[in-house]
Amino acid sequence: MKDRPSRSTPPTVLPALSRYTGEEGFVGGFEGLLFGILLFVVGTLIVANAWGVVDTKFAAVEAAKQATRTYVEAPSGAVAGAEAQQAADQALAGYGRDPRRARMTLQSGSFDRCQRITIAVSYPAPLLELPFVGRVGTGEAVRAEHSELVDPFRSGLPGTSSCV
Amino acid sequence: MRLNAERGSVLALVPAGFLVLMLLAALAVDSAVTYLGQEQLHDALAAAANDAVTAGIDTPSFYGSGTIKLDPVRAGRAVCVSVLAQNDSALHDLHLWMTVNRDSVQLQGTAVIDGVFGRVVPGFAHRTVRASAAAVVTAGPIAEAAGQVSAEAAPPTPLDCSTGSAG
Repeated sequence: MKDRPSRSTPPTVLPALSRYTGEEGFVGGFEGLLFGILLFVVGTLIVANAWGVVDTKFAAVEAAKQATRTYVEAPSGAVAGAEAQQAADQALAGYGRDPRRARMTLQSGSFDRCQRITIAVSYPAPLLELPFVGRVGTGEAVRAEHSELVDPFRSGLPGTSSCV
Repeated sequence: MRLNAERGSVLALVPAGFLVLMLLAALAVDSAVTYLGQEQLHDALAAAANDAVTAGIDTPSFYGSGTIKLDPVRAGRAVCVSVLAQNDSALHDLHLWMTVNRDSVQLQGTAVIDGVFGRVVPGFAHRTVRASAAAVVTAGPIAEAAGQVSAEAAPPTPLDCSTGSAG
């Protein structure tokens, strides 16, 4: 009587063939993974930088507007600059920015009837702005301007209206 | 063999998912830029309307009799000077319409905003924004004594800032 092979004998496995089959999927997926990482990292950096600039621009625009409006409505020329600076600081703080990093400049005009007051506010935009992380690094300064007239018929100033 | 094929397909979906995320993020940035442009246009119109109701007052009439009367030509010139002084480089192809009543100025405007990421996609490079603003003369003691305030309806007229006049 001949011995028959046991049913529990494991089947013969070809190790080399199994290894090659596994690498086919790996090669294709690895390229996709590299592409995905590049796309994700570079794309995220670009979008985060753009968002940081846009968000800073909102703050700078509001600060310039509030500063100019406060300047032309000030009770006197002696306090106009200080009140405008304070208004710009408060606007920036309202947008979660540090007013000490901002730069406000009176571009043109003086506190006289019908003078055009132009105030510029610049603030350094963050290099990146990410959710849960916040603002990272310092990029280029974002600048905003606003311009208004001192009321030619306002009280508290000598002379008459000189608007042309 | 079937399992190997499925594994490759899942990996290919990862960059596709990231691409969708990036597109959505770019859309969010462009929408924020459009909103920012609309805010800038509104700020410019509000400042121009404020300037127009003060610089546009008919000075001889005011100093002669205390009567407040807006001169449309002076108001239109004040609007043009004010809008140009804002120096908003983000606003292109600006069009203004102005309505001057006896004691108020209403402004409407449209402008074109350039997209940040949308400029690489045909049809999404520019967006048009609209805004409006109004300002009313508030009478002081002298003008109140003259009893000047009355509003008259007038249709909006296009404002040509190359000549500084309405109509």
